[in-house]
Amino acid sequence: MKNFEHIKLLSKSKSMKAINQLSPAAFPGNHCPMHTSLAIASRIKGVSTLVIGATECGYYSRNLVETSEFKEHALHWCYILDENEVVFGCRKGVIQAIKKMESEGAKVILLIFTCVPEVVGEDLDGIVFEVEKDIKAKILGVGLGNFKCGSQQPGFWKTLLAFGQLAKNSVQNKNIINVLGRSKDENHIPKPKIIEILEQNYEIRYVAPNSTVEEFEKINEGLVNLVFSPFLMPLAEFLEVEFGVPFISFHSTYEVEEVKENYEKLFHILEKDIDQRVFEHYEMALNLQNEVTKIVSGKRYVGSKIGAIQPLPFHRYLAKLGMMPLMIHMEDFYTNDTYWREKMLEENQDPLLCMMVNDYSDKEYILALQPDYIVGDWIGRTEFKEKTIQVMHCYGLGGFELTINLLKQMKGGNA
Amino acid sequence: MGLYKGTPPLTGRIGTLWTLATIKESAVIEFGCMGHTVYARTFLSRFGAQGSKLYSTHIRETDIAMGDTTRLTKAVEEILEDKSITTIFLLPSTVPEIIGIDLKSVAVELNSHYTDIKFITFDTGSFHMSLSNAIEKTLLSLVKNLSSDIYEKSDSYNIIGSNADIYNFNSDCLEYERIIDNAFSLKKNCILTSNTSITDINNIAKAKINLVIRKEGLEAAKFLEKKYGTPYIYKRPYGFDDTSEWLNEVGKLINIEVNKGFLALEKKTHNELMEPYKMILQKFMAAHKSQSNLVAIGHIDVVKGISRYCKTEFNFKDILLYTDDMYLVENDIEFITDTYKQEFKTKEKCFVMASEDVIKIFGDVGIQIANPNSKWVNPYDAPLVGFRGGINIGSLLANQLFKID
Repeated sequence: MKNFEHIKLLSKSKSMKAINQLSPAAFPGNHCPMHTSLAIASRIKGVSTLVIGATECGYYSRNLVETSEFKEHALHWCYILDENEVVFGCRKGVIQAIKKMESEGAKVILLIFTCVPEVVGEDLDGIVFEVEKDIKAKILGVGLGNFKCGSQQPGFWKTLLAFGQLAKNSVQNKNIINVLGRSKDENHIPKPKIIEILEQNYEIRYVAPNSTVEEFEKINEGLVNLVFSPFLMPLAEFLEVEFGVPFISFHSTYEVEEVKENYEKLFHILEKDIDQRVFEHYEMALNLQNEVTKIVSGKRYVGSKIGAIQPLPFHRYLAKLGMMPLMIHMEDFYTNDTYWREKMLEENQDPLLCMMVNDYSDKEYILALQPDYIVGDWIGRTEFKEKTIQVMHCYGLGGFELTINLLKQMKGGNA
Repeated sequence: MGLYKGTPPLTGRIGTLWTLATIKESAVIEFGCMGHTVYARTFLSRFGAQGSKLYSTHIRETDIAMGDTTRLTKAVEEILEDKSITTIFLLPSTVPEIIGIDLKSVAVELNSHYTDIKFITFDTGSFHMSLSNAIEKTLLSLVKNLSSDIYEKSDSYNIIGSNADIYNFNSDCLEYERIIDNAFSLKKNCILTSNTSITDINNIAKAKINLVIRKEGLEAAKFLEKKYGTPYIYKRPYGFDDTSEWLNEVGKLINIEVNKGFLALEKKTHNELMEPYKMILQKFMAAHKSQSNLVAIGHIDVVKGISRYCKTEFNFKDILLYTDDMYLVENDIEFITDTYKQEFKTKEKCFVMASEDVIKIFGDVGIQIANPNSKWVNPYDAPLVGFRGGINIGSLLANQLFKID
């Protein structure tokens, strides 16, 4: 019989440090943040990277670089620490490497610190500060020791946050709206209605993992940032603090009235009357929300893997529909999760928080809780089809479309 | 180590992990960050290396600060719910290696607690340990720790040194197996370590002979010779002549005559198929003298074997060999450094046999014989070694002509 003594409640968890693995043996487990950081950076035209760490980091990650369509436009090198540098530090070698990269044409260099330099306490900020005086290239850095986190997720958001440093001293332009977390060419995910409406009167700038250096340089020119991905939230928060550009989180707002408030807030920022077309799906979303509430209210569930969706606001919404979260899988504790934690606790929701890293063992833990539903992906999805609510195709959506998409999946799984 | 513009060379930690990853009835637990194990599993799957169950404990800041190994003991407890596992290999990743976690002591404790399970650690995690050194130590450790005392021989053979780090290891091993089965009617006993199990290693002393196909397997073979009297032969044969010679030497060691009918049939097939390849290559070499040299980069036994074969079979005069392990250099075979690789960018096109990254430097012209590799490898692809490997190399070289010209 599985026990849950090693797993803490939400009320006892204030950061990722408190969220433990459900199973002690990861199989297969999560990728490391270096992987996602490099995946993003190597696909931004003009950005060079330097992975600093052990041989493993350099060897395994080269495939990522090789598949980048922009690999000829930048340098993607690695700096491997030897046994002396593990003891005495790698500052000198890394600085020489950066200078060598600049001499061979690198204009923007992202330093990716992996486990080894992180554990020996190498000073990333100090290296950036020291080398910046001597070179013209822009140096960015991300500390991504895998032991400091639970998954690949920080690799996404920390890297995109670092690109915020590229923003130049631009003047805010009232005709520009930034969409954070969607690409201009993202045809496989339907374009949210709000973007369709806004692009008739505004210049929409899409800031996504595949944006260019030039686009990041102008990122603070926008009047407002509309956030459609949790990976771009820390960047949005940074832009608000640093440049006073407000943001609206569409990716984490599901409740119909709260979505409506988001639209109202947006048009208030734009200093315009609200465009009534945004309410086109309001009635539909509201009816669906009421309908699904009747089906799922009072049901106990386990939240498993939901992909690139921020877990706490998502599960808070399910709780608002009347569901009772018993245990939630979280791969990262986002910078604004303290807000969502407080919200859930205020609303008397205090589930267990865990990190699922072993599909087979986790299944036994999940079933031991005897949930009515499992929300998200898990290995029992076929065997327990009736109990499983898959959550798919939500990334990049926002507004009533996100709510409707989610509710339809919930209804489809249970009606 | 320092700065690399391309792929850095493999090191000891990876060598041990990859060597163990193909052993059935075992689990490999990496005490360290799980991202590494995820990467390793993906790469091993690409190579077709399966067998062992790979787990990671993951590790957090508090474990590092306190030197706490509770995660490991808890992981063992859960993993042993799988009753097919009889041996657990404990490996450190970089962080525990740096902070000096004593996995040997943990293994002693675990061995006393789980008396029917073997816990084995390896002294191959340090930052200066090379790939070859680690593989040698790992193979030796496996036979020392797991071989049972069996002194009666059966009509069987072992292959030592078929491991996941050598490109095409599965199909190369299958070719050696096919040849030995047909030449001597011997049964396969233990393939160390691709396609093996803990039971196979327990029974390794049963075999009449150990066929060592890479240098790193020599210490294990010497141990088995000393302890169980099993003779060994060290050679990685390529092509008809090399392989026939190898079979004759094997026959002498085990006092069994090579099946002449099999050999005659292989020779006939070889000669018929090789004739057009040789003809077209000779014509090309006569017309393109400056491009008729060969650069081979890979494991020392692979490049030496290919060099022997290409010299005798195709009359390559100018052959440049490099090894991909700095501890396996020989007089005329240097270690391939990152600098050498970059210099190839300006080299004239020629016949290249190397890893995928080097082939890319040569403008995607070349024959892959080494890792790194990004492709998903079919274990039943044509081999590079033995009789059929020779024919395969002939066709691959012939197909290079239009790319070089």
